[in-house]
Amino acid sequence: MDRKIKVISLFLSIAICAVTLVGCYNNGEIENLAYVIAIGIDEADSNSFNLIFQTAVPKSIAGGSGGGGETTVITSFKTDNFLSGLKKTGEYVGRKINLSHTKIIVVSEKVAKEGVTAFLNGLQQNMEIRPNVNVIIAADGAKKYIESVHPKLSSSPAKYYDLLFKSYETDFLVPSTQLEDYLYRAKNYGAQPVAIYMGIDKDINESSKPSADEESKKMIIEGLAVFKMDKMVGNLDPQEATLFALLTGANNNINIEVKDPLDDRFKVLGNIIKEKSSITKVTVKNGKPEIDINLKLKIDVKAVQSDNDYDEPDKAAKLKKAYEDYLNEALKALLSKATYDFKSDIFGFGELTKRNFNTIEEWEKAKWPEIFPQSEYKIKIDVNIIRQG
Amino acid sequence: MKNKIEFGSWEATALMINLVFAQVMLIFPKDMVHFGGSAGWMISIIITLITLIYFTIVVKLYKNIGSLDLIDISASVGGRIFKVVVGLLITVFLTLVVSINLGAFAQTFKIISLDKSPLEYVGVLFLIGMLAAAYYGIEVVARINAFLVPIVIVGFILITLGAIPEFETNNLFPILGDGYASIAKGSILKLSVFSSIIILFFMVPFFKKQYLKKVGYSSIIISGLLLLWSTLSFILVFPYEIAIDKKVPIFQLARRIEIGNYLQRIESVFVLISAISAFLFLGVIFTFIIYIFSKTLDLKRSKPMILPMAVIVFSLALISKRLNIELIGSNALNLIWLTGMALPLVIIIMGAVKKVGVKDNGGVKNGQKN
Amino acid sequence: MGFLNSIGKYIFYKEQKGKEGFVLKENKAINCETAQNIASLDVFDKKELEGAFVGCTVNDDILKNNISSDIELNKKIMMTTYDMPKNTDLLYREFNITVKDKVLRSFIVFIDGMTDRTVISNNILQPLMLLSNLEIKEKPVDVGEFIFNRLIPYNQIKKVQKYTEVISNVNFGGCVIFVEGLEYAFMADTKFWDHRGVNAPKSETVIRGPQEAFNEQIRANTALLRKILKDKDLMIEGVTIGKRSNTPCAVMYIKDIANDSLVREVLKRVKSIKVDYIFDSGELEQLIEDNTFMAAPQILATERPDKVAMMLAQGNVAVALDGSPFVLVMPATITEFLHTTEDSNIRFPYVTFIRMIRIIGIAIALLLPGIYIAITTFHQEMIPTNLLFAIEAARENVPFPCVVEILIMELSFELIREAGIRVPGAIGSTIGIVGGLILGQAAVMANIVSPVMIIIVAITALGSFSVPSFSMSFSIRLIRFAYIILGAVAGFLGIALGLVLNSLLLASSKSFGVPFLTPFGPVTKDKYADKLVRQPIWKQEKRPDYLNTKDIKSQPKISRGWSVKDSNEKDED
Repeated sequence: MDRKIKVISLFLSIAICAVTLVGCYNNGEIENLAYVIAIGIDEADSNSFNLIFQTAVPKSIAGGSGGGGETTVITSFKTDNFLSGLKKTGEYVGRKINLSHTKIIVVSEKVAKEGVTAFLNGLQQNMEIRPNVNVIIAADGAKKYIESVHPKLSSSPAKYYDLLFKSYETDFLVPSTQLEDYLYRAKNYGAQPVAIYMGIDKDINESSKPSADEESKKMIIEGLAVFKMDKMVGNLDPQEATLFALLTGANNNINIEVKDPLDDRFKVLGNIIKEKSSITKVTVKNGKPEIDINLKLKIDVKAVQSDNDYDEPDKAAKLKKAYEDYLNEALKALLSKATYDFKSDIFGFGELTKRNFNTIEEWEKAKWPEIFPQSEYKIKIDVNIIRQG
Repeated sequence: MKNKIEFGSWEATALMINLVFAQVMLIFPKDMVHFGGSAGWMISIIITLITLIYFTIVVKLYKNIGSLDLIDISASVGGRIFKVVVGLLITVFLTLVVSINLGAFAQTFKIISLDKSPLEYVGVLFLIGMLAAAYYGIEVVARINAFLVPIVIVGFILITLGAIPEFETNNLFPILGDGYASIAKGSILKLSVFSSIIILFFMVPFFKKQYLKKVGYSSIIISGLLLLWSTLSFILVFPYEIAIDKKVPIFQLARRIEIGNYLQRIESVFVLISAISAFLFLGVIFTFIIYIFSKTLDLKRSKPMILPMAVIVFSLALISKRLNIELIGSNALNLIWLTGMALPLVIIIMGAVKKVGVKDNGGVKNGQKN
Repeated sequence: MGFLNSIGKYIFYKEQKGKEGFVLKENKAINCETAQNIASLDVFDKKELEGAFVGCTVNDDILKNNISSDIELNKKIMMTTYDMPKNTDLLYREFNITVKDKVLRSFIVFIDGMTDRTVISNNILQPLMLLSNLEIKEKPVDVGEFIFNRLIPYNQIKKVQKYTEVISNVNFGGCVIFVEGLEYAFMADTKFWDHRGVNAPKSETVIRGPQEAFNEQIRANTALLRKILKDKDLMIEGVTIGKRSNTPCAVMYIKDIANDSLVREVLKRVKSIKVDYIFDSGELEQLIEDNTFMAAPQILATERPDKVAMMLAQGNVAVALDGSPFVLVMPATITEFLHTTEDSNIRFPYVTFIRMIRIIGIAIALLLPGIYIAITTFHQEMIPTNLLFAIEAARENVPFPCVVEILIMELSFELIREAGIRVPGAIGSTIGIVGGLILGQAAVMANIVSPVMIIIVAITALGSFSVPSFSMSFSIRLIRFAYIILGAVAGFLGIALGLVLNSLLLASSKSFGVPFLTPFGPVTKDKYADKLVRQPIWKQEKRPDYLNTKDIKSQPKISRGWSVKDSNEKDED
């Protein structure tokens, strides 16, 4: 019995020692950390970058009123690698930087065109950062973008970023813009990376996007940035991006407008649902990929500006034709743009091609990035109009 | 002085499953990808099948042996000296297993959760668990396995189920991965994941021989399924090109899960689950080391052995980390691990030839030994 | 003048009268024989012993003797044993009995307050003094037999041979009758004292089910049990505990259900207890439990007769101690501490739900503070971003680290809890106000704790209140602190270590040979029949496997006769 007391007291003393010593090891008190919600990378002179950290100021976020103080602190440093920039920020903010709640990584277009993988690699080594952080390419520089974000609806910028991408999910946000996917694509041949492309707002009336971006009228999502390996080669506009999402994503909630087939002045808005039986097949013949795209779509007519009633069968057939023509043309344009202009397999056809090979060795021998620009497409689109009643 | 240790087949099964499962939490799926590329999941099926065949042979052989463990068998076969040699060999083998795994677990947890703490600190935490387990003895350790292992496995399955939306079937192609040769090589080397089956042959007297079949087959099949499922879900989420760089596979898998806006970060739950699994793994093997060692040398009291043995294990673990070699996945080590399967087979064959402990003299002998 | 005097007292020195201070001197137990004969002896500490006769008690050896026929001797022994005129509540009365023509001197001794005075007057004294004068048509063969058979019309009379028996019976409310010339005495059981009646249970309340609780009377308690069980095989074995107090204690079991070796073990343990006095079953529990150092209780103490009855029917053994409204039931496994009697009285889907809630409550009470610490110090990524910012903002001005904060809060909560029990009823409401202020608004306003912490502590408290067993909830409250420390030391790794250590501790402990964690480790047959969830009552056919009862089945396979079509009925159709 006596020994048990000894054991217990031994355990207790170890525990107490550990509690007191742990302070040295993990100075992780929740309020002693600075949470970075956005990381920006801007070009600077010569070989270095400007690193931008947007750090949350919880006090004013929780304070709620919004008018109180700035909800975030933006700091930027000139540095040549990520880690030293991180350290510098920590010194500046006076707290240890924590990346576990980072929502976006913003890269300026200029930097993106030079290639940023080396930089993002440093980020990925960090266990804290989430694999589902969104990668954004800002046309006018990362700092400008981050500074332009002044959410009015939600007091927390983190929530703003979250919701921003959630709301765009309905149109063309694809999971491939997330950090881990981006990195995978940037380093391998099966697919090429895309990222969200932010530009200056020119024409807000053109799109029917939710209200989130009306708050910040300066920047707007301009589509997707297209990369070849780690270098940006061009961008897709929102319509193209929408089609891209339609082609690749499992997203079932995409709105596409076409001209009203019965009245040129107006447009018809339809919600497109991709059926599970849509198949894309890739075969490689004589070193030339042949890509069969078979899309089966259902269209739920959402809004008709004219007086035409598309529930009537013959009118519906016309609308179906209109949609098929439009999609056929637009898809062809998109595919040729990506394949022949950018020479970048953003659609991930390479991943599908893997099915044709038995071993990794064979697949690597096929040298997909070289043969991809010679791809030929066969597109077959089958549209079904869902009629009410 | 020692009470007769006894527990049911459920406890033994749970214990055996965890011995395999703990390695899934460590590095196993990554190794699969390393050997098989996109076909890594096949390796887990192959090694399960090989182990099943191996076990079938052992069970056949055990028909000629009474309810004895390896030490008893070797004592009956080759006398005292042989028994000591075998016992010490197994002790050394298990000490190696436990210390290298201790190092690996400490390293893993340092990476995933205690990144600012020194390695020794994390190691000591594991050591406390091991010490406590050894202090309470095999019976108690087996008992806590009976209810903790199901919890751990259910947690693991929930984590992987959460990752299902992230599955990408394209990742399974090219279907044969790195090719037949590589798969075959991987199957032989990673057979080591089942090397802890040696523990099973020490539990035979505890749960009575007639359950050996049930315990063995069910634990091998269940752990085989777990191996398959873990590898499969890992490969399905991560294409082989990046999978190979992932340090803690299942943890990385857990990082990908996103259930709504409020529950985004499941990976910390993974820390909890894998820590329990690791504690049980280390605790079980360490307890058996003490048991086997004291049984080999006919020690009456085993508790004084615990602390010195723990010091040895801990030092070995630290040394293995200092050597700075990726020990846990290295091929040489994988081959050493196979001792865990080869040695019992040799002893059991010898025992079966001599028909030790069958019927008339079996029970008596066993009783005396205990 | 008085005023001047009193001023003078402060100015002038006045010799104080010696005030004798009391000193508690050492007092050795003395050898009474030496003290008695001190005058004639020449011993070293003669002077001390001379005054020490006060503390002398009657030698046990004398009391072990048989009662003598000499009434004077009996009287002397009784007088000295009880130190009679000094001991005020002991009453002694002499009277005469007439048997035939003889007049026998006799006396009775009893304790006032513990006996029924009217019974003694009407049923003992009256017949002996008056009835003995009546003409009785029977030839008295033996005086003793005659008195026993004809003269004492009281229902509980026995003959006792020894002084020790006399003493222990008188101590427990008996009335002893010594008669001249008899070598034994008559012992009338005239127990009667004021006691609490059968009230509603205080600490284990249920909504659906009986509302009776045990009280401090052992007979009342055993009667309550017999009343519920109505089983001839219910055994209530009497044992006395305490060298001096001779407290009655009852070991109860159902003869043809309970395992013999279990009954023997309980009896062995209870009988082997050697203490001077025992006051409550709480003490007895600590004296007979397997492992006193374990944090979890191993014997179930309950004030509900229906719970005891239910567990007896299941094959457990119960021990009741006089003077304690709590009956001990053993062996107890972890699930028994999580059940209430209500569980079998309400429909099974509700019970399953309620038990889930209870288990969640326990998990919360045990782990929540530790997990909160672990998450906030090690796993911040787990908190949703907005909640994180809220917590961070709230903690911004709190000067302590999280651990200290939660320890302060938990300790002050425990303080309030303890104070709440001790506080006198008259000022009971203050504790709510004070506690509410400390734990509530003021602490937050003063930036000593953050509001989130208050929520954590409050939920933890709620969780610990959901544990049905008082003792278990205590143990959970204690272990909680270990988890807080472990969580602060190593995050989830520490929590996992705690869980493993806790499981080891619990798995290693046994309650009367039954492992505490049965049926989870070791796994027993029908493990989940009525443990975590509950099955419909007609499915519960077997008694718990781990109790190794003599009769395994508690009901036949088909317990609802109506659910099977009667064969006779069928023919009639």
